[in-house]
Amino acid sequence: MRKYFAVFKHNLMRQYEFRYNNLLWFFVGLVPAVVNYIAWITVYGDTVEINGFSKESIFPYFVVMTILWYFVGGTISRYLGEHIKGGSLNMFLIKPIHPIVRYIFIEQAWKLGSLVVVTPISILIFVLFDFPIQIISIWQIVALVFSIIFAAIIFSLWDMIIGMTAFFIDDIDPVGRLNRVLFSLMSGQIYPLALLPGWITKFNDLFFFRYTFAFPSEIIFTPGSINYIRMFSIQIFWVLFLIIAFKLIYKSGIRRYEAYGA
Amino acid sequence: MAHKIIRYLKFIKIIFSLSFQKMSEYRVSFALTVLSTNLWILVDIIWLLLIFEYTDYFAQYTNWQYFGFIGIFSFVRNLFHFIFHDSVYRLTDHIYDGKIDTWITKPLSSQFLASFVSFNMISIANIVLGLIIFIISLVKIGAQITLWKVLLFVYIVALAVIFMYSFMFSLLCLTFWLGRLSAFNDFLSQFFDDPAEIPTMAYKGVLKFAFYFIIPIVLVATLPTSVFYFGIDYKYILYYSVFVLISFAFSRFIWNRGLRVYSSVSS
Repeated sequence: MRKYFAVFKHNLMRQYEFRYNNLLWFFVGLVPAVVNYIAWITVYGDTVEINGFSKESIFPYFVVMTILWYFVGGTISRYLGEHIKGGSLNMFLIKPIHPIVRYIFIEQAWKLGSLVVVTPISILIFVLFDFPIQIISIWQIVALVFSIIFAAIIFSLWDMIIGMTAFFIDDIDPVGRLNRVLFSLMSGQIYPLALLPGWITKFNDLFFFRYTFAFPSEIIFTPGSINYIRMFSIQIFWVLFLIIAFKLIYKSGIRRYEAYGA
Repeated sequence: MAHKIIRYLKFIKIIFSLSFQKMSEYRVSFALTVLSTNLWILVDIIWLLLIFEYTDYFAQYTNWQYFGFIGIFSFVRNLFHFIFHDSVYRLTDHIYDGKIDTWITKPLSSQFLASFVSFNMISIANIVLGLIIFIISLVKIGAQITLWKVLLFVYIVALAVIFMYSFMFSLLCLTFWLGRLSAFNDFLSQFFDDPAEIPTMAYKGVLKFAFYFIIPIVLVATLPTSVFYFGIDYKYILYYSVFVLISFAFSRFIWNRGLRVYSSVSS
């Protein structure tokens, strides 16, 4: 574990180097949040609530989505894919750490490094706009923390699987783009899932996307309407399923790996 | 003068040919990339279906009008991407890495060379798709199409592309003084992509003023669609014509000022 901690520490230090970049990226992330808010406010018009989702929760929802990216999201697939295609994965094959799992620790360093910069501004936004977020019990906080941890694991595992498609195909950009489209539509990033018509919600529930960003946000905005045992059970199911998928794909991929770009 | 224009056109032809050859090298990859970028239009259409579940008008647009708006947004954005994006997007790296040395020594305008490094061929499919979506919308709403309206539409689209170019180019020229601006690059792309994706009528107060008069993203899709949907406002068009002219002149000015401090840093 100390080896992975060293990877984490090294990359955390690098985040300090890119602190202004990280800050700018946060503001980049806020642009779609503001645009989504304006669009939905226009749709709501004089209506106070749609499908149990209140108009006043719209802006906080999209800001929370932006912040959740730093807890749950990431870009492992992009550079993992590049390293596989470019052959630079080679140098990690001979080191005493898992060549793919190390990316998880690099990602956590990015998350922590970014959150150090992003948190004070987020708090300021929450106070300035007087966001109506009600954390009513300690259990809600515990549920939120665990939902984020499972969500981050699901996201990372899936993102690594997307990155590992580079073992099998030449160009993973289209796969990555398709993945982003699916996350946009199904994870609640561009609209609260509560606003989806019933039959689409049922279809959406069959996939893991909603258990990454939407579930933690639901704990914040609509805590009373959640079946916690069911939701956590499904999250754990997806974690186990993706771990198995990850291992199988890694095993098969590393056998095919030719490192032709190295 | 004519000789000079022909020389520039010949250069554009060569760059287009080279970009086409580059694309032809990886045809399957090209096809997959085109397909996956088209999916973003699908996201917009699903989003449209969702919002019109709850309202009959979205910022004064009916569902078919907004469908056309999505098409025009894709058309204009991808037209800019096709012509300038690859070049402008890499401008900060080119300046920072000292790659503009060779352009300065060539018998063409260095700004022109910096602006036409390559064409983004992937965008062509989205340009065509966007236009098809817009034509379908015009047919569905039974819009009156006249030659004058078409010419105005083409003129506004040209203004929009020149404005996006001038704005991004000018800001990225700050690399001459501030060093590499990679994150800023992405910020600018996002800045044009997201706010312009909804009709400017949805904005209120300061944002509305800013998007109409200071950074007129209204040009990207709201104004071109307005020509066919809501009528022509000649005063606005005149304002934008002057605004875009000044923006372009400013891009020339800042490029030339930048060249004076350019030290070919790492070349």
